[in-house]
Amino acid sequence: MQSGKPSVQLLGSSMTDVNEAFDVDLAPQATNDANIKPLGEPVPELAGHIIGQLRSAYDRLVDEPVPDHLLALVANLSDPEAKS
Amino acid sequence: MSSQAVRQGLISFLPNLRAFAIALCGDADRADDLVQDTMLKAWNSLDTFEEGTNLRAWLFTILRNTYFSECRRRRREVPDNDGEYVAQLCVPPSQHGRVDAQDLLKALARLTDDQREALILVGAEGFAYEEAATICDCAVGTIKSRVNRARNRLADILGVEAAQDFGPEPTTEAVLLRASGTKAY
Repeated sequence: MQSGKPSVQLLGSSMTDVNEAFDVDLAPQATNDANIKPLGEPVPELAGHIIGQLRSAYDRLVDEPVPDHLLALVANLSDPEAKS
Repeated sequence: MSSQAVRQGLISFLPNLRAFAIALCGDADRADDLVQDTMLKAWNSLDTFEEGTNLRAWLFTILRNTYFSECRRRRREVPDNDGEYVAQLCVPPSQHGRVDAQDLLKALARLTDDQREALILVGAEGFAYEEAATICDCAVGTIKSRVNRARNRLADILGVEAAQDFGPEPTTEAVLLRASGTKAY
């Protein structure tokens, strides 16, 4: 664990990457006062919410069933060796 | 890497490639065509894939290059800026916020192409900056800048100024409650 942040892995990218991208601490530790943003300060949680909502919407796209014709296409690709 | 291993890789990445394509172009049919072209190009270019490197990033690179090449050819075609496709997506009952998935995906369509792809690759697909920079063929700093601008632009388009403008998302809500000293049960 680095910088006191949880090493959460999301689809191959660490939460630290996401935090750096959005200048936020997505998972502040309740025991660390330095991580708790005072009220009235520009809301860092907003960036976290935006990325959370984006992920949620995107995951819904990922969860959509892949059309059969695409699966069939890949399944029926002939071996490159066989082409020659 | 054997052709069978690549085939398995292609199949396993199909859902993510298709989601990326839909998010890029906003049209499911066109996205399926993009994915199909990507599959064929990848398969026919297997000799250019360096074994041991990132197959997922390689496939995403092919897809985004195919998309932008197509855009250049079809310059006059207007993408789904009205979000006709994303409007059909259902919203799960757990989301009761003023900003829902449809709003967000519609707003995504209003970003510039480079901002949209950077935000999706890093924010949604989970690529590291370095990987996204390789996929987009640009500097890491450029990707960081695009992601940040995309996030800010998204907030502007959605008209959100505070986290409360979004519906409650259980994990974040629990974190916020903990941070404010309130126990979440």
